[in-house]
Amino acid sequence: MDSFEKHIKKNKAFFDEKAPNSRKMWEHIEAELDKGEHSHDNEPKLGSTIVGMILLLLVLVGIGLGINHVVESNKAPVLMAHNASEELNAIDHHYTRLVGLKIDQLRQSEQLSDLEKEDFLEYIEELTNEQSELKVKLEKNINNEEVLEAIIENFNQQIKLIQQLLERVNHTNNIQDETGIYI
Amino acid sequence: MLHQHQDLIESSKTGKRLAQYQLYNLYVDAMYSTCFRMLGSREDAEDVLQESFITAFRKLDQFSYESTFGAWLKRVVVNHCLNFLRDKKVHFTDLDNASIADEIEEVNVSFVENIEDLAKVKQAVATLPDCYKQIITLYLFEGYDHVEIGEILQVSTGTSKSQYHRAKKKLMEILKQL
Repeated sequence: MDSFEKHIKKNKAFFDEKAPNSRKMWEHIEAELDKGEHSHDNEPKLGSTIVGMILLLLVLVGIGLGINHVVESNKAPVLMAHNASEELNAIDHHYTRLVGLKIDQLRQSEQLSDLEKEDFLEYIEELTNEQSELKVKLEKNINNEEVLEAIIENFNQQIKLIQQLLERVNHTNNIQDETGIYI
Repeated sequence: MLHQHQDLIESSKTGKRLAQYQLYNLYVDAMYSTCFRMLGSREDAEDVLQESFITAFRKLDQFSYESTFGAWLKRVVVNHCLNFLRDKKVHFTDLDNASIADEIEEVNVSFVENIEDLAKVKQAVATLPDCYKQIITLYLFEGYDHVEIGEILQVSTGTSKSQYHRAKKKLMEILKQL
């Protein structure tokens, strides 16, 4: 490796780019993954049928051996966690879409320069990072209501901040000073 | 280090969307950089990146911690970029191995000393023909060695080396003009 290559590798971060539409891309990815999962549901497969039959047989044997009592006693918390997880996914999906829409509006704003938009979105990105940390906490305890509330508050904060900026910019550009210059 | 984000990966394998989203957030910028460097267009990079993540999540079961998740994911992304370029009829041409040593000596290494020069390198890489951009990106920025590049591009190690040196020579020529 010569000094040119060493220097480039040392300064690799300089050549990195930030994904400009990461939220929008995620929405597309999520939609495709959902589609894939649904299409799997509709395709009966031989392998899964056999596995299903074996599982059914095992369950019947289990009942026969009298372990159904144990199964029933464990069922409630598992179901609760599953429902909470589904609820969280729905909340996440709903708010992610709303924030994405607001970000799109911000990007399309003609009153703000690209630099101003990027500066502001960097701040929003910081909020998103904080939220990711909250979500990791929530993964460990799906029923932690305080963390769930903090996640929703974080989403609302992002939406509110973008909305306020858009309103301020639109309002500012409608006011002229005495010389006719927009202030 | 090898099993970084193992919890997220395992949750993602079971299809948990939240875990997948977090994993995506952790890697989206790095993988976008790779796509953008290889394809040179923001739109293409976004399209290919989306498809790469969809493939990665669908085939996540195949990831068995033999490498880091980042390395595995990058391989998925690179393969998608190469398929995209192949569809665009950009081919990694098999060049003869003649005068590799000469080409190495011809490379001027006195360019890169400050940020301005790094910016010039960035500009020069962007203007490289696609087939040269591929090899420069894989070796210089993505950190693959020539054996790995040979596997990725399905060429011999020697071809990877010779093509790299040609690409680097071309890069230097462009740099001289900037």
